[in-house]
Amino acid sequence: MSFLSLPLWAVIAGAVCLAALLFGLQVLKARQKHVRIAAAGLWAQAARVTPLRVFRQRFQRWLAYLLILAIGLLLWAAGARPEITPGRDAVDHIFYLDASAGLTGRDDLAQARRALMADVRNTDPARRTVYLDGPVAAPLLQPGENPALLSRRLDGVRARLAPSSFAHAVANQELTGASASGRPTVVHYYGAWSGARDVTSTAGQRLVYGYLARPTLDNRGVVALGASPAASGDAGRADILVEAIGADGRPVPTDALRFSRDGRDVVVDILARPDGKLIVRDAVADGGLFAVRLARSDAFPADDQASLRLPDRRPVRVALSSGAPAAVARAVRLNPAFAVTAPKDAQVVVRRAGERFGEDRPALVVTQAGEQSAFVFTYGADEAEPDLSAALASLGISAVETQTLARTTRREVSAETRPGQQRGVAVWSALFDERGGFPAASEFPVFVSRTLSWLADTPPWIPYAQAGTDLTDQSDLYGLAADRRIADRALNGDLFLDQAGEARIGDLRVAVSLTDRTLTLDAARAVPADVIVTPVQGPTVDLLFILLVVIAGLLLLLEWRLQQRGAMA
Amino acid sequence: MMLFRRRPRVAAAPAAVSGLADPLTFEALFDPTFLAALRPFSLRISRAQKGGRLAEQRTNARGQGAEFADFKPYVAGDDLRAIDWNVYRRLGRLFVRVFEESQDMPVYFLLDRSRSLFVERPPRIHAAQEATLALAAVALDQHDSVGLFPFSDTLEIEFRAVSGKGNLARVAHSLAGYSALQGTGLAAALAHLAGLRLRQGLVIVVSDFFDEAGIESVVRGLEQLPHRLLLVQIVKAYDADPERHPDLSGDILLEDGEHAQPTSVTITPDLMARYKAAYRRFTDALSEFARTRGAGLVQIDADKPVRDQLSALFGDGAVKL
Repeated sequence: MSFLSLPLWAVIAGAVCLAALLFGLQVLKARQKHVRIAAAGLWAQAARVTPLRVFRQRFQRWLAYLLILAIGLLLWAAGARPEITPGRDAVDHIFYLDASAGLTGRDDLAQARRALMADVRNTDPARRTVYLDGPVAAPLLQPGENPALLSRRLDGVRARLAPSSFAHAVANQELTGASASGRPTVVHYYGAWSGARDVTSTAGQRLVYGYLARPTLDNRGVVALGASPAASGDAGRADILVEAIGADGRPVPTDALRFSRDGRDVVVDILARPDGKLIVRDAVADGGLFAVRLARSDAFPADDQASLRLPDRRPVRVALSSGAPAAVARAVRLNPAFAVTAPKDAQVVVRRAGERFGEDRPALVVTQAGEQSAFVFTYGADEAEPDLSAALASLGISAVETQTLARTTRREVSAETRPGQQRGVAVWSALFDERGGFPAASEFPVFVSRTLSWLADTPPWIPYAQAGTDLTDQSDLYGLAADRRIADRALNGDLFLDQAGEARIGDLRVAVSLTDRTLTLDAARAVPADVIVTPVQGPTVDLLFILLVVIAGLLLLLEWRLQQRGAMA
Repeated sequence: MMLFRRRPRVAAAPAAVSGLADPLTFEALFDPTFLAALRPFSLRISRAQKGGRLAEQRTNARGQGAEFADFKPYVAGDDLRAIDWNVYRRLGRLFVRVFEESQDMPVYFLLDRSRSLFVERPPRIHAAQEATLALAAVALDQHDSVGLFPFSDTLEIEFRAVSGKGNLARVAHSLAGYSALQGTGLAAALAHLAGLRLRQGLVIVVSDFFDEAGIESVVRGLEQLPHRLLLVQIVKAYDADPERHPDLSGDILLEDGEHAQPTSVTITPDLMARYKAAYRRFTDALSEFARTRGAGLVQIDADKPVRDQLSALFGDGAVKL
């Protein structure tokens, strides 16, 4: 026998204190108050009519005390959550709660949790480890820890809208715990069958199923959602690919889908492709939230809707000073991604050094050779210092014939970064000299486009965002500078999206969707006949706790009855 | 054979009880407004014993008075003014008219001074004092005599008979000096009073009637009295309905100030029911005695104004016993 809430010594100490406290209260209660009343003689006469039996009178208070003590101790013991400690086990047990998208249906997570709790209670504490599914399996209960902690830690667990990581965790040997001892291991799995499909038992590690989610036979889901530049050629618009399938893999009819922008239902121009996929044509690429959902939801809601934050392809407003190089002005005017405006409306300005023109805006400043380095990048006050080589590469400057530039200007070509109030790029005017050849090169419009986009901090082009995959940034494909927020947070160039929903990357908001074809199809499939779920050993409810509370309640009832009958002091 | 019977051990005198209330002072008691309100009231008994002074109560005595009673043959010495000359003219014999003589009625007050009347808040003695003074004022106002016999364990004789309105202040002074004595010995006091052989009149007992000897002994004592009776029972609402007492719950020690050892009881619904039954028997015994004997019985609630309750008692102005 052990206690979940308190150690044994604390339970005993608490019981002794409780007994002493109740005894003190009983003594205090036995202190009778004096009441002066003229009819005291009549009261005495009434009390003498049926006097208490001597034995009962002598022990009446003790009996009352023992009854109260029994009730108090029962409640105290119930509060300490006693449990019968399971026997020693020769194998290690790893319990894995796969709270991924497979458990989002009905009350699957609650049932999986109940089965997990019951199995954990009936397992040798020294041989059990509990893990929770996630990008990296998170230990919920270490060997020897109290199962009450598990209950509390599970309170905040919700099913994650992401594919299962169970197979990945097993393959990468993330599930170690007590099994590091070299003993045979039993892995108990609680989740959707598809999550454990690729995991097989080995000589030292046996897989058993503690709970498997029930299939949703009529499941349908959105399995693809992505944006690409509009085929119509309109730079400010995008085409959106939508694919929704049923349990048999066939496309869902268009009229079974609903579309919305920024939370409001919209009617869209849809083109159905022969393969059943849908193209929503010429959606305005303004950074809004585009969502598609099934008109009628089903019992597996994780894949019933998907959303995508559209790229923001509205033209960058650029102001050109009178001293702006003609080559730059020409590149800006010819590029539909830019719109020439007055300085007060501009996001970015182009001017020569010393000109008083849009000084409070990010600027491409043309300087004279010798005044400073050939390329000076000024980064904003709230930004980290950019990596110089990455900055040069992202703006396409690597393609500039720096040797030609050095020869023309007879100066050493160098680059530097500086902190400032806002972004800025300062470049020698020699670079824009028509005789230098760079303005005529094919890289020149790319250089201008990327530089001005970097200065305007234009949002990146993210074609889709799928939970359980790395973020895809296609800014390079569309003449945009790589987004600093993604670059700052990426690990080895990858930024993992762990679950569906809105992800924030700095101040960049990305709508991540499940859109997993395998998951949608698996949710509709029944568990194979050869996969057997191990029934829970022992009671699924805390019988001992319930028993103690019920006995305490009965004793309380008895005490109340005795009080009513006047048999209790 | 036991030659000598062991004397029962004399119960120890109750220890001095602290916290007993004081009686009403003379100034508080002798309230002219209170007394003026009593002026319309009167006390009447069916027939007082002859032998008293001329007053307002009807008696068997024949003599001077306003009410014609009978004729009798004239004998020497009779008042010539009483001869009925009409009868003489018809019969030729002398007859004199005799009249019913109205005399005074002796009213004897037995006032309880036991400690049980002093232990509560407000104490019952205040109501007892006021009721006694009020009834004494009515008696004196109608030229009856008033005797005051306070009692506790024993009967005391404050004064046997005083009359005249001027003595009301004397009664009030006596009442104001009535502090708590000992226990309630009403049965013994009644036996004592019966042995005094007083002229028949009206005995007014002002008490809570909680006698340790039991209500049966009290009733027996009352039956021995050759007087008309008016019983003034000083009560509180929680006597009959103990749930109204805020402290009557749980384990308590009950004391009435008259016994050394308080009564330890645990208030339970069962005990509460037994007490109510005992109290009902107690009041039934008093009521039954009053009904069969033709005595008056009035309950004065110590927590309510006495004057209002007496007004209800007198009703149309007179109490006839």
